[in-house]
Amino acid sequence: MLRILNLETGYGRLRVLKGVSLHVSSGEIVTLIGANGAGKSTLLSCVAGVVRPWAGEVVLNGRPITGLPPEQVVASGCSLSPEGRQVFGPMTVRENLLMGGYVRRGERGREETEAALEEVYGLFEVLRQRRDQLAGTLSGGEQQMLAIGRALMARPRLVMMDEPSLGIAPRVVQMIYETLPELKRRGMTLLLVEQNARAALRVADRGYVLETGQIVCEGDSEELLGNREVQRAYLGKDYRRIDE
Amino acid sequence: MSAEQALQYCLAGVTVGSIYAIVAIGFNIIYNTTGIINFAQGEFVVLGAMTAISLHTVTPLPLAVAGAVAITAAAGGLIGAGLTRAVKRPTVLRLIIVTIGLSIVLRAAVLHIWDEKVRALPFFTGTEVSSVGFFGARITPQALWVLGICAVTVAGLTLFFRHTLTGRAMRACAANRTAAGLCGIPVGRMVTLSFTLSAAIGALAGCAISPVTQTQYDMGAPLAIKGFTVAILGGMGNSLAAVAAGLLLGVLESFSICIFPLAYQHAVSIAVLLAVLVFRPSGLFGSRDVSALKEH
Ligand SMILES: Nc1ncnc2c1ncn2[C@@H]1O[C@H](COP(=O)(O)OP(=O)(O)OP(=O)(O)O)[C@@H](O)[C@H]1O
Ligand SMILES: [Mg+2]
Repeated sequence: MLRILNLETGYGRLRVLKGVSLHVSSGEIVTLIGANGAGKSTLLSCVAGVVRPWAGEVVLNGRPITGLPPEQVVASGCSLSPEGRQVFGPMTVRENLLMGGYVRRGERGREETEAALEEVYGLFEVLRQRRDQLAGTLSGGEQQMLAIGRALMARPRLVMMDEPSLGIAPRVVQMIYETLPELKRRGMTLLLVEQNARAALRVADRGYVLETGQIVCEGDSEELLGNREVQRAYLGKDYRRIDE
Repeated sequence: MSAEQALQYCLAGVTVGSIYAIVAIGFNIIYNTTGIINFAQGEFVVLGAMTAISLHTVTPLPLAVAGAVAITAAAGGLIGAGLTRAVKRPTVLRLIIVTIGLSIVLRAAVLHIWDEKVRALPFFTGTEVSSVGFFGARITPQALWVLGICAVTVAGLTLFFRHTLTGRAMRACAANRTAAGLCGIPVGRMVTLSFTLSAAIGALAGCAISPVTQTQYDMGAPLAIKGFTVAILGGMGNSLAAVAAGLLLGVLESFSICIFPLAYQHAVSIAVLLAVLVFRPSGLFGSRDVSALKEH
């Protein structure tokens, strides 16, 4: 589904990714964990076309998408739910979702967009109740659901989520995490970035650990959960407290 | 002051105010898409009027106006497209500064193509001495034209921004450019479209007001300041509020003449602008909550 080869990028002269390679197979949930500033968001932004790659290759479904602008990446079936939610504050919930389906503009697209809208409402019932409310006035958890729903509106085959648990009450985090296996069942592939490693590894099939711009460790979720290094660095006491 | 006199001042204010309003609407379109204030908006107004005046020497008036709107829109679109390509990191502040430069270039271009002579389009209906009676006071029919065009554009724009996918996508670009891109919205093309649209409306405004104000190459800047004041006064981005604010400012200015010397007329609007910026930056009709949501 997604193959990243020796990806390098950064901001100005700051080199953030120092040759990252990873792959996500069709139907998998893969998580990318790592500390603050490791470059996780940069990696997703680079795949999504927001940050330009310096070197390396990104291949989606056998097609190179390296350095394509965001709208073309979305059109090729890969959507990002960005870090910090980034909803359109002065627009209603429904309008936010409609924007997610923008790639299908045109007559034929309208019906499919309505269907996608129903799917998202089915997944997150609150969004249906709040559909005419301005997105900026939603709670953090509701905004996160909206950001995910908006990414789903394009009916992507690969969904990338950047820290969906960031600054959200544990109960809501749990609720959002419960939808992930459901998305997988519907045939979607997921690349999940998290600092909350325990929650992420619990739903994921495989994981990668990113440290200062390099993959230092990879493996099945159980393997990583049992790995000493990972336990010490990412599953320490602090993380347990957030999670439980 | 007699009631009749007061009414006459009011109508004079409405005439001027409708001119401010129609210029203000142009500001709102680019603002609604990019969050930037296009300081070259006044130049679009002049360019539109000048083009129509030239075209009118060979074609009938409606055709000349339509042609001028189309030509100015194309120029606006080219500028928008050039802007999105040329400015590497298009922050709001950078783009605003670029539009200031752009206004200077456009003014020079208009001076070069035409000259510094004062020109005017003929009145759309009647002549400069014809007027419509209104409870004993009189108003020029051109003011009614301007108001009518305001009403139609505001209605059209409201429908466009609230209910069409493209209009909503333009608002999404202003709310969060990165997120708009991530939704698959081609942000650059939306910016180009917003410049095209607001140039078209600027040109239409220029044609509508030319018979009353007349047109000279350097009248863009003062018009833009008035339009900007009105756009702020109404609450940036809200065209209906801009019309209300325009009429209010026009009437205010008109009555200020009976109190202050004529020379202070423009100071009134600047004072209003400063007062609004200090005390109510979201505008008279803008909701504070909504403008807080727009903070990037
Ligand atoms: N827009 C930017 N301009 C300059 N530097 C940036 C920018 N965005 C990120 N960085 C830098 O790049 C590095 C990696 O940032 P990134 O956001 O990818 O980390 P992250 O792994 O997502 O961290 P977190 O878990 O805190 O979200 C950091 O050192 C950060 O300061
Ligand atoms: Mg991050």
